[in-house]
Amino acid sequence: MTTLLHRFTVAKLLRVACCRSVYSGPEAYPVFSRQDFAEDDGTWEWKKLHNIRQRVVDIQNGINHEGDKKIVDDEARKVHLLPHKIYSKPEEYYPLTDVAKVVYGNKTKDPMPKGIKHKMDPDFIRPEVQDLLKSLTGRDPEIVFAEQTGLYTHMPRVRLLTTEQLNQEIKKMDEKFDEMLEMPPVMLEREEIEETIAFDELLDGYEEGKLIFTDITVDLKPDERCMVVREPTGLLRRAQWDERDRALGVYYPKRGRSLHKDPVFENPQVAFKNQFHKNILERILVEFVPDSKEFIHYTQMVYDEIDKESQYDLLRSTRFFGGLAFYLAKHKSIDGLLKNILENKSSLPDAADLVKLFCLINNESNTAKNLKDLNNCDDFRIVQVYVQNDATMKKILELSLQTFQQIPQSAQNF
Amino acid sequence: MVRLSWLLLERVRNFRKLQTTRERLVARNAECLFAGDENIQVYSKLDGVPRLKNQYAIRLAKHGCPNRPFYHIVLAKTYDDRDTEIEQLGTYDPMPNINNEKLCALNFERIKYHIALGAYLTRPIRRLLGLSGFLPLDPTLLIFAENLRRRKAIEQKIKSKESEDSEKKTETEKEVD
Repeated sequence: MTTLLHRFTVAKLLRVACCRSVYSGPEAYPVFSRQDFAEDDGTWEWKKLHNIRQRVVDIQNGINHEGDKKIVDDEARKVHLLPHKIYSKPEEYYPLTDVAKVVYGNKTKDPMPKGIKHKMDPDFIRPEVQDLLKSLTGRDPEIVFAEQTGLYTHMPRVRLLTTEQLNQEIKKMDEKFDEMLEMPPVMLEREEIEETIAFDELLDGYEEGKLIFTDITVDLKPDERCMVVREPTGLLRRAQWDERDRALGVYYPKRGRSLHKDPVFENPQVAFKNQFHKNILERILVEFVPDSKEFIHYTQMVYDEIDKESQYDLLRSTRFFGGLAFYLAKHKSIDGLLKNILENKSSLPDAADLVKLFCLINNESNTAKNLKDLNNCDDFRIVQVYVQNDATMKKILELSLQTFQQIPQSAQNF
Repeated sequence: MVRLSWLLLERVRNFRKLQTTRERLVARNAECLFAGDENIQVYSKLDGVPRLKNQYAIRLAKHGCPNRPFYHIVLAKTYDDRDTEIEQLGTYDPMPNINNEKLCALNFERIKYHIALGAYLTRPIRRLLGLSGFLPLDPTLLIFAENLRRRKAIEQKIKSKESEDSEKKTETEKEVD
């Protein structure tokens, strides 16, 4: 209890005394003014409402104060101004009615015909296979973070770091490695679309060419976009995959993609002479969808060329090496790669990883049957079993294996 | 469909001639019945579809270069110029490309919206929407296709007759020789 009276309260008492007459009675209705709440954070209107609501709650509970009648009358007069519903957002008060939806229904999203899905190769998805492919590619930072022609390069920076900061920077670089070495997916070839919607014989011969219709509604994924072809015979059918890719290239072009087929993909001899295998693979990644016929055919062409010439070092510690190893293991032609690992790279664990890959993908081969416990065997034994059973270049691989047979015995002496 | 127009009244004071038109459907080839009256006009529209009196229309606006047309499918007011627009709803390329295809793009969501609000569709757009399967086929298209087929059949007959005549001529020449 403070004896000091605030100047506003003094003014309020004076005002009340001036306005109040004898016949009005005691203070029945709470008197508020803006100056009373000038210092408060809340608005005076809100506080007025708050007090009125408290009074209303008391009335509902049965507690009566003086002046309830006036409050109730005032509130009753305001009811016609209140909305029948309390809206939290202005969008609810002014709803946008789509008249077309009500009349015609909303069917712009055209689902793809049944039976067509984007299927990944089930062997490629397995985490064991992914781990093996990542260990085979390698992590040479000079190749992964090499200068790329056409991109801007920053000047080098020198910084002084503590050991903790150094470890953090190394963690960041590990994450960047994973980004740069992310393998492009190996998928099964997509099936051709064959669905007829209608056949109007009366339209036979109205034109000499086809008509392709595409749906240009906003916010649709390329799979959901409806594309339809009307042929001069009067047949209405869905567009096939090459027609879809062309129409999407016209209306929704992507950077790096072109509508015309580059003859490099059909006559790549000059590019292979100059060792542009990696550039061709990057080009294929950008232009084609990994589902499509062309992507699979052209990548396999590049992999066959590398296998023939044994130029595996071009793709080592890039993101295409995993696809190479997977393709070779699937088609049972690992021998060239094995030879390269044993002679040039001279690492037994990588060779053992390759044979493990072969066993995981080809479960019914003789090596897989003989090597049921892969973890318990030595790396040397794993490769030996493969060479004995499923290898085509037996003698060459046996010779290269003999070097590894002698080294551990000599290393033990040291 | 047929329209009758009948000049009814002529005011006594002759300061204004009132024209009132009354339209009603009449059977086909029934012009002989009304041949006597001068006030009656009988005519038929090929379309058969009445033109709605709505200011909004979906139609083709011609862009491109000389000898190379390219159309935008456009919502516009009927009394505005051909190339003005309120909203673009698609494109149509009448010239075929390398693969002998004609490309047409349609924003079906917005077209639905404007049709529901009563926009008028011109004949080429009715044809395109019928060909795409969005609306039923336009009868003018079917008539056009049938006429084309008849013309081709006639041209083939003429060609076959000419080849027969040329063969006969060579035979007669050989006989003479």
